[in-house]
Amino acid sequence: MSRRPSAGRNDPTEAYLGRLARLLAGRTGGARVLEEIGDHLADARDDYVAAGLEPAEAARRAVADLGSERAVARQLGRRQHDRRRWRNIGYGMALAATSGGVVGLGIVAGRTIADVRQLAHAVAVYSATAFVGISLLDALRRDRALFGRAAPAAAMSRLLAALAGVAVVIALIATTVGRPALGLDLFAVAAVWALTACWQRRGARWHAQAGGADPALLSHGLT
Amino acid sequence: MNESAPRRTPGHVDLLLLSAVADGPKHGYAIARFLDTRSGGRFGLKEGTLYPALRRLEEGGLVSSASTVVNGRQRHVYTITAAGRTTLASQRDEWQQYAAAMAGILGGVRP
Repeated sequence: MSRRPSAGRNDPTEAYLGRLARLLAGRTGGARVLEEIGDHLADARDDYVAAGLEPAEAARRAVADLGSERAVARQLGRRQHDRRRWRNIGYGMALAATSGGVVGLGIVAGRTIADVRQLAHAVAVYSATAFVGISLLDALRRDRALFGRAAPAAAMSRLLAALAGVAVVIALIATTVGRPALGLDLFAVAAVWALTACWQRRGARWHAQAGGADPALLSHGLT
Repeated sequence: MNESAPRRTPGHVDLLLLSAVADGPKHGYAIARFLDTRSGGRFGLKEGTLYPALRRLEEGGLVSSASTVVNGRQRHVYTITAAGRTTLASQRDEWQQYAAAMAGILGGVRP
């Protein structure tokens, strides 16, 4: 962020940014939108002053040109809601496919119904664990969006993919030495970890494209 | 900036934004000014909503952004991507067909 328009506590641009910051608090990408709108207000006010308006009137017009801060928040919120919904549908479908695949493998391998139930139970436990991991990674990504730090999520997704690879190797060894049950369970773990890593890589790439935000935005209460 | 302009926005914000950045890389305020100038202030866009729209285009891979120093200040500058140019061409064709159809109808009608 390069600068902020400021003409005291009654400055309409500061008031607008404060209201917008409260509306965007906690939303992914909100910090950057706020930063860009702050710069936009500063540019617009400068242009109006250069055109001969008084600073107070210039600030009022700059705010009026932007339109309602609620409209901005609504636009960003709707976009995020759509994205989150599709992402959750994706998670659900991927996990359902994994569970189905594991159960199918169990049936093909000639296991009993009790074994298949055990496998399904194991997949459910691993899926829940993966969701905990996803939540933690999302928190780290939000940190990056706010503070502009290098994305730890990308490194963690690489680690998760590596762990999935290790799990596959151990599963193959277990199957070879006569422990097919352990092998199948490990395949399930590897599949869930690999899928999680893929989704997190997508998220990390998006954040890398979007760029970070200015820590000074925290002064507007954006958390 | 044009206060006398009608406050009505056609539902083609993506097309407008892609056209603006196809003209050359721009930051948000420059995009708003480009649209205002080229339209003669007729669209009356609420400029604040351009930023969520730009982020949506960026997520869709139609524009990319980079933090760049412009006139001594750090700004997010948007550039159209190859996918953005393809989408722009497609949307422009659709819009021109629509405009031609409207002109065909209105051209034969006397008020």
